[in-house]
Amino acid sequence: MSPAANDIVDAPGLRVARLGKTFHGASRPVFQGIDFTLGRSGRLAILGRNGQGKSTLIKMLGGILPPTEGQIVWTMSSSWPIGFGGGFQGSLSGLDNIRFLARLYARNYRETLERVDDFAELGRSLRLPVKHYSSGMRARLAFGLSLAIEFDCYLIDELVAVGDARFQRKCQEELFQQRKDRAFMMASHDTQMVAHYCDRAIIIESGQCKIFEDVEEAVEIYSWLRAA
Amino acid sequence: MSSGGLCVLITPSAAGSGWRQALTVRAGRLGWSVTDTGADTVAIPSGGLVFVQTHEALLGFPASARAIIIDTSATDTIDPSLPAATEDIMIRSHILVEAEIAAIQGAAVLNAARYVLDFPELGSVERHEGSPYRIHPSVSESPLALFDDTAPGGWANWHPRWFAYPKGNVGSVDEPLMDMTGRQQALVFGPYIRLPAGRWRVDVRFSVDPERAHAPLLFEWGAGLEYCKVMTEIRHPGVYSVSLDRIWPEADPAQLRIWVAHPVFQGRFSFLGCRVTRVAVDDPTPPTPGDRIVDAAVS
Repeated sequence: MSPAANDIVDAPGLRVARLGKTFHGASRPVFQGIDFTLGRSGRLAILGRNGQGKSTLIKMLGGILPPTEGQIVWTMSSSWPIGFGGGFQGSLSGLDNIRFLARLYARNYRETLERVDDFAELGRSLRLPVKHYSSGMRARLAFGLSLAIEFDCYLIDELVAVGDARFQRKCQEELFQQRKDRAFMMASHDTQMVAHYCDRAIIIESGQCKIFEDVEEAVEIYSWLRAA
Repeated sequence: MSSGGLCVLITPSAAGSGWRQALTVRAGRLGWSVTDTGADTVAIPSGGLVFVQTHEALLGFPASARAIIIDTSATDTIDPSLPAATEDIMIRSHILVEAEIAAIQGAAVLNAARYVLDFPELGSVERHEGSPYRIHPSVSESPLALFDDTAPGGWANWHPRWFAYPKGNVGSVDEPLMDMTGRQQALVFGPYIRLPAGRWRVDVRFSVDPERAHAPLLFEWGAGLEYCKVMTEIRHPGVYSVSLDRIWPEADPAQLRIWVAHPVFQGRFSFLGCRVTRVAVDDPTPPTPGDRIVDAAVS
């Protein structure tokens, strides 16, 4: 049995059973019948063409959207979806949002602020209300906060969308090298990154979802789906 | 001579019953049990004299205790006075193929036309009755040498159980079912059954459910490194057939290969077997050109 498989058997951090989502008023489900388990150091890619439900799944796993059917059982802490800035209070400044989240997660505010400021490189902008931030600035704040608070599992929705090339390298180093013992789930179109960092993959297509133990195989299939 | 046992497959032959009787008498003298399993491949005794009809049943015995008795003369195998003699051979061809596979797996190949044969474990046995037969020149080569004498139009059905399924399969032995999900890959290959020189056509039957997508399938028919190919994309569930033909310059084990032509997310494929037909070399129907893309015909 591979180390990843052992990890799933010995220390599952997430169990997803018969998960499905149908939006209000929609005639067909976005997907249904999703079953998988994630170990405490598992690295799962979520692949699918635009509109197939990758972000929906990530949001459901992050607790932002409720499932229509099935169960999500976490036994490890999980981040909010990185790349998603929807959890901030827009009229509060970046600093106040950091203070609020530090309290919520019982972290020391000063230490949290220091780490966010060091990572997100937002400087004096942290004093401005978050509603005035660009989407990139919100993503950097959300990413910085998720790294400062430290989670067992990171939910990543299109990491590459955050910042310039230098900042993206910094993000990847912090996530995949500094936190290589953590679990993560990554929704992405970047097949090179998926093949490099993930050990399993889910493909969502036409309401069906399949899990692949061989991530290279999943990438090949997904590349054909995109080209079709 | 040991007291182990012998497993025997007798192909269709006018001398078959004579050999069956002679072997039964010899086994009885040795105190062996005698069993005829018919087409059953499950309840095979592990000792005594056992008559079987499949190569799988022979595998219950060591290679040194397996024998097949063949007759490669078409006129002696089937009563030539029967109007449909050739067709009868073709209908029985599945037993010949079983014998061919058994021979490849190490069974002793013995000529039914002789009066006396040396059997593994039993030693020299004399046939009980019957008239002399001519000995076919290729008798030692293959049970399928029978087809050397057949005219164009002769055919044989190749059952799905003679083929290999690298992805595994579910369903039944008559209709193995495969999930097409995955990389470009072979779904079916084999059966490496010897075909004599000549032009041979294969009509492949299969069913596909592309599950609202499309099923890209590549069919290859040939031997060694020489294959003709047909590629098709199927978009609707149903039963289909594809025809390919190729000229064998000399006797060679034939191979049919069915591939998923590129990675797919979904789809189910079921192989229903194929019919192999000898076609006249000068038949006006052109051979399938290589790499041709066609729409599979719904049958």
